Amino acid sequence: CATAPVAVHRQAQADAPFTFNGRVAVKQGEQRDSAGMRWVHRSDEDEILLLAPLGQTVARIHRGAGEATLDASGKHHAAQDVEGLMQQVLGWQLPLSDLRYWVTAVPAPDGEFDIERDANGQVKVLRQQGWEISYSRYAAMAADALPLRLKLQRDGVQVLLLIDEWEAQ
Amino acid sequence: AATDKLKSFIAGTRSAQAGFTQEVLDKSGKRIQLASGTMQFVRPGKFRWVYQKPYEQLIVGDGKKFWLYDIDLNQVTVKKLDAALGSSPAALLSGDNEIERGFVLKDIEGRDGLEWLQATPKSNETTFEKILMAFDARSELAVMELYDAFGHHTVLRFTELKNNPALPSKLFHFVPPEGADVLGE
Repeated sequence: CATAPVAVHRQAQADAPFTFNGRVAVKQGEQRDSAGMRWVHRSDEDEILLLAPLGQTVARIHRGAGEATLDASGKHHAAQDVEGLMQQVLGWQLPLSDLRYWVTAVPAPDGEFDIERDANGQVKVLRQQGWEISYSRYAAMAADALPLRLKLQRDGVQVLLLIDEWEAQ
Repeated sequence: AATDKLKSFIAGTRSAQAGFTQEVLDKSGKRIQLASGTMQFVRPGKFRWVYQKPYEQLIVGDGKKFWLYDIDLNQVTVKKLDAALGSSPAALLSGDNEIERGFVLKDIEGRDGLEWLQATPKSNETTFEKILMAFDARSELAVMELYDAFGHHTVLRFTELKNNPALPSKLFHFVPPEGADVLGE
């Protein structure tokens, strides 16, 4: 059966919509968490599903219209900021407001940053908001290729994001 | 009926091997994941699921423990089998009598030319609300559908099911590789 067409290159306009399927693994001291992850991003709305091995959704995170919600283990949680909500309910968080840029190998619009690129113009390391993000695999060789493997690090927290497939928009 | 076919499947198929595709659909039927691989089991409680696409992942039940090894992440998650097996799909496939202990079984309306049953987990700390199983005319398991609490469902389609193949026991034995991160008890 055919799969959804796959995207390989980043779209030109800033904060373009994206959808990807992949996995996330978080290390904080002794604590380890990992899950399948599906992120549907629109400029005004985000939905992130955390999946267990057989594909069942174990948590749904939604951000939109100035509110963040998180549904997990039969409970509904709501708050202003999605990062705090994840930390409170899941015990770990992703810096989502900036990650939505970093995940396409682009710096977030606010806050200085510095970038190391490799020979073909692809970002190797990006530093912003105290995070260091290293990109170790891309979907193609081109400078605007979408990344497939990112590692984010900031004071003792390590987040590994593996993207199996970017869906064409 | 399907519940009889499940019983004869349990009694007659002491071990099995099949290819599978795993498609996850959201409430509106949109696909949110597509995976595939091979599955093997020996009753009771020994199973090996090898995911090849979209990424390599190995799930092994050795009769006592449930191992999940993500090769890219180089991470192993291990759980006691009874906690994991209890009401999990693997229990339905490779369990023995705990199927009745872990699930309420009910025949439901057939479709796609198959006979269907519904298995509702008795324990509530599983991530599935209900599991459907479909058997073909030869009483072979063809499809499993797993419904989660968000209204999404995983469709597992089995292909080239082989009944009672000889499966070496080392297939159901797992040792975490050197340097892998091991989580859990």
